[in-house]
Amino acid sequence: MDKKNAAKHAALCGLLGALALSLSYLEGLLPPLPGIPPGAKPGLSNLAVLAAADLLGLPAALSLAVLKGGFAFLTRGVTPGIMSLSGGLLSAPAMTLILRKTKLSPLFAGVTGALAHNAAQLAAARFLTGPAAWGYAPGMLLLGVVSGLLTGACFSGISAVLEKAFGHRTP
Amino acid sequence: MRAPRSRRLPGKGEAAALLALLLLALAVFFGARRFAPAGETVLIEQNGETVFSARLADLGEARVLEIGGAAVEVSRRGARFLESDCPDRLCVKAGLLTRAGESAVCLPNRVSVRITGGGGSIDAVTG
Repeated sequence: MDKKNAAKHAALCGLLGALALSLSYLEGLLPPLPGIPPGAKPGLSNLAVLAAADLLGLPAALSLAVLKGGFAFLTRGVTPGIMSLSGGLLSAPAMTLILRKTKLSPLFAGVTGALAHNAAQLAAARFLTGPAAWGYAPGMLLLGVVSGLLTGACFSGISAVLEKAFGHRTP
Repeated sequence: MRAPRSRRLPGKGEAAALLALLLLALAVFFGARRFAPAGETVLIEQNGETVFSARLADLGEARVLEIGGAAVEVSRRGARFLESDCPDRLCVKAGLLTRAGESAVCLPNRVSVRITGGGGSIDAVTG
């Protein structure tokens, strides 16, 4: 990568990091909606990780996951930090794999990422507490599919704008 | 030129798989709620170890157990987190647990409550 591209790469990585953190923050401001179980979140910041997986590759996607985990740790505490990090460390590689190594669409990548995220969180919760955590599995499954479709579709929608603005893509 | 991967549309097979997955998730979610048998026992665990366990039928009026930073109410009807010192109190918002398989977890306090049992037995026959 030449110097100009390296600068673009770093700038885009930073921007996507900022986007991930602001989406996490905005999500926390959403009021609890009727019919949606308490604590269920749409996982909008995965949008930024998905974009990083596509435009920049696995190292950038993973660093975004670590950044998100660190942000959750600093602003909300140890437990949310562990939950965010465990989810991110599994979902970032999963989304990168689907997007870059298969011919499947961003929708599929979003769903895979969200399900991987939720599965890792469930496993972490099981480890931290006990088998009671499995009781949340049906909700996490449904939430993963719906939020994954949502982030995948959003990403498809904004990707044209992102590419136009940056004209940058790591092969 | 092929569309970039970010704007690929799902093929027929992929769309079918996604739809099937969505339907499966809906079925599991609503099925788990609707068809779960009535609970038989309540188990409270802290740091992975059982700190309280009882048959619901043996429990009388509601009583409150202080476990870690949380207060759990157990009664004949079921169990719920009554109060907790954790920040988001998702455990309290989970409400009353009555059916087998239902659970509530207070992650910051490492306390969990779950209802088990009822496997295969018929609770009531109507009609």
